Parts: sequence; C-alpha cells; structure tokens
Amino acid sequence: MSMVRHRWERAFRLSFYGMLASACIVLGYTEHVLLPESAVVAALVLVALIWLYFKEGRWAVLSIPAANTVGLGVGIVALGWMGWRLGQEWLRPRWVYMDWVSLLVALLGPLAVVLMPVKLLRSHKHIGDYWWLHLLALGTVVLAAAMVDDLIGIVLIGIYATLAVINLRLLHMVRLAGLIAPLPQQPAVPVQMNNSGTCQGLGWARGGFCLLLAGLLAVPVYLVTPPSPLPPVRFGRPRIEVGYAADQMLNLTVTGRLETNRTPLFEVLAVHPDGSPATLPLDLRWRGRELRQYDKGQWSGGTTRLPTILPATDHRSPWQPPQLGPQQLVLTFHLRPNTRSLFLADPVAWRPQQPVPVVSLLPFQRVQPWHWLGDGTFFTDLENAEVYPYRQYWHPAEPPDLSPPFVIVEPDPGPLLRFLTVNPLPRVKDLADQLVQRWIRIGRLPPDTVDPALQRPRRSYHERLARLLCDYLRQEAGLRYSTELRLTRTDIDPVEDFLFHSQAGHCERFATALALLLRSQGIPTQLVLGCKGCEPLATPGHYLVRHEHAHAWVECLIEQYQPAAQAGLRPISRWLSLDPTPDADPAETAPTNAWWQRTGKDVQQWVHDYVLTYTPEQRQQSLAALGRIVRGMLPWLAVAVLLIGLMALLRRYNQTRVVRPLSPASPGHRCYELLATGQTMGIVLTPGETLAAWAQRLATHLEGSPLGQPYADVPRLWIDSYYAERFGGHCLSDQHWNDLRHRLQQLQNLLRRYPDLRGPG
Amino acid sequence: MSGIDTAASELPCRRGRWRLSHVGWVWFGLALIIGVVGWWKSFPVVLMLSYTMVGLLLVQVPGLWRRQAGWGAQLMSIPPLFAGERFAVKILVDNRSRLTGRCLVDLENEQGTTLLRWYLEGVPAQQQRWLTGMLALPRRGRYHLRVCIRESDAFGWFERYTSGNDQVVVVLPALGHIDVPALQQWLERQAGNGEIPLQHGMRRLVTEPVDVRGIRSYRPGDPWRAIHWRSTARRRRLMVKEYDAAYLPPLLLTLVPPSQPFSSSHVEKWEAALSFATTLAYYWPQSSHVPLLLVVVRQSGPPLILSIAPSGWGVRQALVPLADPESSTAADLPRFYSQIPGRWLHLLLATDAATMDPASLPLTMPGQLVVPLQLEKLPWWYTPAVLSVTLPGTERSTTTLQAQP
Repeated sequence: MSMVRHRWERAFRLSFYGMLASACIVLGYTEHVLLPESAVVAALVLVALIWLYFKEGRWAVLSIPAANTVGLGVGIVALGWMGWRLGQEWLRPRWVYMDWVSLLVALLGPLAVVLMPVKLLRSHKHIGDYWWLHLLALGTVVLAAAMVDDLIGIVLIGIYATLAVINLRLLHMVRLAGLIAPLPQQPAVPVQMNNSGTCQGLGWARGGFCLLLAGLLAVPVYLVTPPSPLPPVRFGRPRIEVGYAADQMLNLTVTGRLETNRTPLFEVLAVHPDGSPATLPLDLRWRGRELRQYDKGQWSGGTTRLPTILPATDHRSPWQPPQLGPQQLVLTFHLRPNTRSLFLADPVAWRPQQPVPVVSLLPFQRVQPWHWLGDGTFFTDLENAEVYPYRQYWHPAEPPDLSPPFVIVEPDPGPLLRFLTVNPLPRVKDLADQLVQRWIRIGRLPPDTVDPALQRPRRSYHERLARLLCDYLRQEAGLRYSTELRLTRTDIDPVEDFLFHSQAGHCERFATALALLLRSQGIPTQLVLGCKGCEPLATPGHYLVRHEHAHAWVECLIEQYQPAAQAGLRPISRWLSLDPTPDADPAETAPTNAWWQRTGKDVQQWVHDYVLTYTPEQRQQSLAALGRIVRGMLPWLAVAVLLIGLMALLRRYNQTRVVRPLSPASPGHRCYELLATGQTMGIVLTPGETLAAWAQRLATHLEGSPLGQPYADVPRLWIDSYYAERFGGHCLSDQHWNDLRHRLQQLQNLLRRYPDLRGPG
Repeated sequence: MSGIDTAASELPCRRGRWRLSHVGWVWFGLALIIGVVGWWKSFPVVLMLSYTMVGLLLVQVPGLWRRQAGWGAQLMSIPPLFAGERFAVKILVDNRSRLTGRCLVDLENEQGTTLLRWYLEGVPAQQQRWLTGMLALPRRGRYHLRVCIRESDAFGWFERYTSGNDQVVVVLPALGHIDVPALQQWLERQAGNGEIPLQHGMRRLVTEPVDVRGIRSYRPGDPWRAIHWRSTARRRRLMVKEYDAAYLPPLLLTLVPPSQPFSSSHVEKWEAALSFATTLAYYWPQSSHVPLLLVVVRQSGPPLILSIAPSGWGVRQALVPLADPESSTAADLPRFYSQIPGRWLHLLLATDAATMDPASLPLTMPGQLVVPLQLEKLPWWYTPAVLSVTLPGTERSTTTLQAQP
C-alpha cells in the first residue's frame, strides 16, 4: 500500500507543478506584447517551480511566518512595479485603447504568477493551500484567455486545462486517502487505505476524456450564445482589423498585424430593370468617403471642396428612375446597424439631364432622391439616412475606371485644385521626377511630357503618367503587399519608409504613395475609402460586403481628358480611379502542399473565425447548421432511443431471472438451526428484516435474563460467521461451526429446562 | 420464517441523495462568475473556459446515475469490552452499483466524531470488502457507533452519504489485575484470623477438615501446625502435611457509591471501585470456581445485582449492567443466594466510608461476616492503566490502525 501511496503522491506533485508551470507559460505568452516584463517574470517563476519540484520537502520550505514574510516582500515589490507602470502610462500614454480598470487587471497577472512559488515555500501545506494555488492558476489563465488572440495561446490554455483536470482528480484522491492534511480547523483522522488489489489507475486518460466531453458539450452552447450588448473589450495586444471606419482619420503610423474582421457591412440586391437578378463583378468597388488632406502620415477629409462641374443631373420632381444605358443595373443597399456611412458602386454613373441615380427608400413606398452637389457627387440630407435602404441606378463605366465626362465651370478652380496637389514629401517628388525622366528615356512617355516652364508633366499626359505610376507601384517598384504593418524607421514619414525602407504594406500605404506621387507631378488626387469585392449569397442577386472587404484607392482628376468641344471652352475632364495595390503576398497565400500545413491553416482560420472573431451572423449560421444537423439526425436518434430502451428492458428481464439463493427457511441453510431455536423463543424473522437485525433482537432477549446472558453472544457469532462465509469469502473450519452448534445445543437444553426464557410466543 | 437471503437486503443502508458538495458549489460559482465576465466583456475564450467548467460538472452526472445503487455497510457485532481494551472493528462493505467505485467509510460515534476511517479505491461492481481496524474506548458506558459511507464523483463535486447499521457497544469498567493466589490467602486470613471475631458458623466453615493431599518437606513459611511429627521422626527432617485447597466461601461484593453531589475525587474512587468489581468478577470465579455476587447500591431504586457463574462463562455479558449502573435494569436475587446465606463472605467497598452503615446494606444477613475493603491497602489488587476519568464529550478513543492481512 505504501507503494500505491508513493505513486499517487508522485503523480499528484508532477501534475500539480505541471499545471502551475503551464499557467505561467500561458500568461507569459499572451501578455508579453502588452507587458514585456511579464514574460521575464513568467520565465523566472518557471525556473523557481522546477527547482521547487525537486527540492520541496527536503530543503526549500520555510516556516509559515517566514513564508508570509517572503510573500509580503514580494507583494510590496509587485505593487511598487504596478505603481511605476501606472505612472508611466499616466505620463506617456501607450495603451490608449484600454481603460484604467483593464490596465490594472492586466498588471495583476505577473503578481498572481509570482505568488505561486511563494505559496509553495510554506511548510506543512494543507488542502486549503492547494485550493488557493489552483485558484491562482485559474485566475492567471482566465486573464490570459482574455488576452489570447492566436491558436498557440489557445493550445497552451488547453494544455493547462488538461493538467488542471488531471490534478483535480488526483487532489480529490489524495485528499480522501489522507495524504494531504485537512484544513487547520478540522481534526486530522488517520486514514487506512484498503488494498483492494484492483486499484484504479491515476486517471490521466480519464481526466483527459472528461475534459474532451466537457469541451464537446461546451462548443455548441458557445456557438449559440447571444452576443453581449457591450462592445468587445480589447485587452491584449492592440488589435488592428481590416475594416471600414466611417468616422476616423486614416493613420499610417499604426503598426501590428492586420486581423480579418468578417462582420458584415451591408447587403446589396442587384437586379436588372426588369427585376431579374443580376450578376455583379466580384471585384466591384464601393466608394464610401474621400480624404483629401495628408499630413505626417494621416489623411483627413480636408476643408476644401471640389470645383463645380457641368452638365448636371435633372432634379425636377417627381423623381423618375434615370436611363443610364442598356446595361443598367438597379442596386439596392441595406446597411447593417452601426454602419455610419453610405456606400455607392464606383464609379458612380450619372447622365446629363437625367434624374439623380440615387434615392432613399422610405416607408409607405416613398422615395427621396439624393441631391446633386455640383461637383459630381451626391448626398442626402435625410436624418439617420443609414437606417433606410437606398437604391442606386448604376451602369458599368466605359471605359472602365473613369467617371462620366464633365467640364469644370468653376470660375477659378486653381486654389481648389491646388489643394489636391499638395505633397509634403520632397523625396517622393524626386522619385516621381526620376521615374518620369526614365520613362521619357525609354520611350514610355513622349519627350515633351514635361513642360520646361512649369517643370511638370503637361496635362495632356496626365492620364498616361497616372497609369504608369500606378503600374509602377503595383508591379515594378519591388513593393510587397503584407498585412504585417511595420515601420522600419519612425523618424521619417510612413510613406517614405514604405517606399524606400520597409517596402511592404497594405492598400492604404500603396494608395497614399500613389496619391503623393501623382500630386508631386501636379495631378489633383484624392484618396477614396470604401470596399472592394462582394460575396454572393445563396439568393441570386444578393451580395454581402464585409469589413474585410475594406479598401483604399486613388482618384485623380484628368483635366484634359479630351480637348474642348469648342474653342474658348474648358477641356473635358474625368476622374480616373486607380488601384495600385497588388495581390496579396504570394508567400502568405501560396498553396501549401503539406497536409499538416493545410490542416494547420484551416484550424487557425477556424479558431480565428469561430473563437476569436465570432460575429452574430456566424452565430446565426451556426444555429441554422445545428438545426439542420439535428433535423437530419432525428430519425437516427429515434432509432437509437428505441434500441437503448429495448436493451435496457432486456437487461432488466435477465436480472430478474437470476436464481435466488437459498432461503433461511430451508433446512439446508446455514442459519436454519439458529432460526429454529429463535422461533421456539418467539423471536421470528420478520419480512424485510436482515439476519443481523434478527440476531441482535435475539441477543437482546437473552441478555435480559441472567440464565440466558452467557449465551447472548451465540446469535451474533453465528450470523457473523455466516456473513464471513457468504459475503466475505472466508472459509471457516468445521470445528468453528461445531463449537457454535455445541453452544446452541446448550442454549436449547436451557430452554427446555427453563421455559421462562422463551419470549412472548 | 421469512426473509429473502440476497446480498442487497443483507447489508442495511440508509442512502442519502446526491448533492453538490461545498467544493462543487465553489466550482460552479467560479464557472458562473467567469462566464458572466467572459460574456459581458466579450472574451470568447474566457466564455469557452466557463462553459467547459460547467460541462465538467455535467459530465459527472451519468456516472452518478450508474452509481445509484450505491454502497451498503454492515458493522459486525462487537461484544462487551473493557475500557481501554483494544478490539478489532470489522465492517463489511458492498459496492452495489454498476461501476467500479471508491468511497470513504467512517466509523462514528453518536457525537459525529470519526473514530476510524477507511478509504476504498477501485472496488469492482457488485463486490464486497472487509475492513478492519483496532479501536480502544477509554471510558465505560454505552456507545452508539455507526458506519457512514461517503461517495463522491472523481472530482469531489458531488457527494452522497449513506449510513450503515448502528450498534451499541457496551464498554465495561477497566480491567485491572488480581493476584489470585494472593487473594486466596487474603480471603483465608480474613475468614480465619484472630482480629475479627469469627462467627460460629464461619469457624466451623473454615475449620472443617479438608483432605490431606500428601506429605512433603517443610518449606519456610509453612505453618508449624501442619508438621507431621510421625513422618518427621521417621525421616529425621521436618515434614508437613499438604492440604487440598481450603474451602473458599462464595463472595458477595457490595459497592456503595458516593453520595451526591459527586466531586472529582469521588468520581475517581467510584470508577476504581467499579473497575475492582469488574476485575474480581473476571478473574475470581473462573479460578476459584465459587460463585460471585455483585451488588451495586443505587441512589434511587433497588440495588443492582449481578451474578457471576462459577465457571466464569459469559462474564462479559453478565457485567454489562456495570457499564451504566444507574440506568441498568435490576435483576432478581438468584435463588442460590437464599439457599446459603450464611456461607457468603461479604466484601464491602464504599467510596464514602463516612456514610456507610453496614446494617443498611442490602443483602446483609445477621451474623454475616462483612469485610470492608480499602483498595489502596489491598496488596493483590493492581489498578488498571486506563482509569483516568475524562469528562463526557471530550473523550477521543485511542485508535490504532492495523493493516488488514
């Protein structure tokens, strides 16, 4: 039995220390981005745990007062560090996305981790100490779980959970077996372990199995849990998601990894004028808003407007749907809640003297047409316009990427357009000039591209130059598309860092670089934020656009797209949409041949979609899928229930057919003689009464008489012996039974001589 | 006669219900708090952790259902014991469920204090196990012992208590030691010395001729009256007659308790008196083959009369009323006492001699020899080691656990 105890103790200690170590590792891994020192603390605690595992009980334990003193010292140091950290945050805010409460909770992580070895240093640990350590580890892991945002972190949490479950089983076992001291206020009772010979295992596999079953139960419940009304709290590393932010500036100084955000933005229904579903190109762009002012890595809307143009649309009432051409489509937009922006298919198509192509759909089949702003854009002054669906009449551009032609009628468009040619980066202009010179040299641009007086390309070559610059960025510049946003140098403008140092970035950096290159050559350019692409839904004609479709591109004004129709008039202008962003990084999207790589990617994607960025729509889809599965399995479930019921009935029937053992009333029964003697004394075995209880009654009756007292132990001895044989597997000797029978005969003789001994018959 | 002889009905049990233990409630509460925080603040992994914790609770339920039949326990009968006597406790435990199980078996007294504890691990379904342990109860009295089985799931979150049978264990006063030959000699002197005027019957009793077994050489200490002069002259050395054991009179021991209120010294003396009576009853009749009557005077009610058979057979059973003299049922005077009243040697042991009036003692016949005893002056009486008096409710039986072979 001591071997069994030793084995249990060893397994318990191993799993206990393993559980604590895994909790440290989890916290260190998940919190090291937010608090780099937490990784160092976790590593030190890990070393301490390993050392304590081998040394505990032999040397490295302190008395309770000494351990408390150490704990107090550690706590003071930790509080000092927390105070220093909070002071640093107060003076130089770094975690602006976190409130003070969240920050304080995050700082508690290293403190909880450090308390673990301090607690282990105490000598004479009792069950309460182990429970406290479990609680510390659980709290640490919960904090880490709030910060985790990748698969590795989740796997580490899973390892902790497995070890914790195994250790909880062992903790209960060793507690019952008395291997751990009880709470101080409870008396310690020595426990004897029964060597059954079939001692169960330590429960490693069972613990893991329990956890697996619990996880399988938890997953469907999690999938159908409704979302919280509060916005998600970002606890860990700053999370940069691909998404459309309607009310924020564009900031190119943000670094980190771009995470996918599959939250839907809006839904589009595309139909032909006759009502039949239409097919949209899956790379269609949807424009949201324009940004015109760039300064130190940030884009903002700017305060200026675009020049007035002609021809205009017809805004006579009542409004009628415009006629844009034979390939006209009708796009109906349904925005999701909290989408505080309006989107239109790009480029927006309109025709002179045709009604505005965009209307809001109000209740009771009313429509409210949008307003022509005079510069080729449309707006609505409807209060909370995002709440109502709206409809756009759209025609693919011919040629593509070009707006409808117009003429600038602004008396003096110079200052307005000059605002769109501001480039604060001389180095970008130098690059653009070098590129122009090179293209002239190699014949891509005509020799007279540059106006010698203005030292800028002539307007007639603006479109060609713009397309060349766009192609340059997309294909020739050696720039790489990446969702890992890095700044190699923080002392220069992000665009300069992007073009000349890091040479990797996402659509915003590409678009900004092209915009500044174009502006440096005097081409009025603005940045457009919106979305690119859409996802077809099951219903034909229905498309879904998500946050992950957010995109940025550039729109430049080609002032001399075509010569003026008449002398004295301004030339025909058009807005040209340019998208310099290349396709995603091949290294990131290259198909993986190894099955384990593919599986790993799939698992990562699943974890990201269903655990880390679980959206209400996914929840609805999961519910629907769950419903389909249950409906499909209903017949099989019914069959399974029937089969189980039949098997249970059969088993019960078999059990009732077991042959009953011999009744005590039978002469062959071991207790027959005793029972017969008792019957003569009037002590009869009643229905449901056990033999032991009957023997006790008989003994009590005998004890009541001085003559019977010497024989009062006979019934008890007889029944005990019977039990020992019947249930205990003991084989008693014939001599033993003969002795008992001899004494029983003496009792019977006594009964014959003294009938008074008999009880009430 | 009736009764179904099946294992299930043999071992009694009063099964409780499965319920969440304290640990289970704490676990559930933690899961709830973590879940609320995780959901409210939209921490998906924290929420999953909470669901997994609750799932672990629910996963135990099927196992509880399969263990519905539970355990049964039977505490084997324990004969009357002497205070401080180590005895083996035997319990038969039966796993009636359909799963291999573990449980904690406690032997408790009526105050709920655990006297012995066993931990059974890995008992297969429908199997029984014997549990043994050694126990010693230091105080006389009647103890209600019961077996309590505590089952739990693998983590200790659910628990159920099952009670086995109760049993009343009678603990007699502590057993000391009596030097029987010395007692014999002492009795002979009491009956035949010159200090106490002998009654005529008693003199005839002790001077009744006994059989001469034979002649042997003189040993220092032999009475000179036993010298056989003829053999001495023949063999030219002192020879004495060797007699059979003198006739020993039957003994009547009367115990007189102290008057109320009891002081601690009175209690101690009273316990010593009871212990003496027990020891005398245990040793004397079986070695002397003379009957012994014990009479315990009670404050209220008739005296307690205990008759110890000459063979000493069933002495423990006979002494059971001494475990609790005040509340034991009085028995009738045995017939053989009245047949030979004058032949009894009446020993009197009073804890409070000042109030003792021999004439008022029960069963005292006129002319009967009454010998007052003072325990501290008896050379043949050895006080038992376990004679400390402890206040009720604070005793803790000395337990010695022995591994089952």
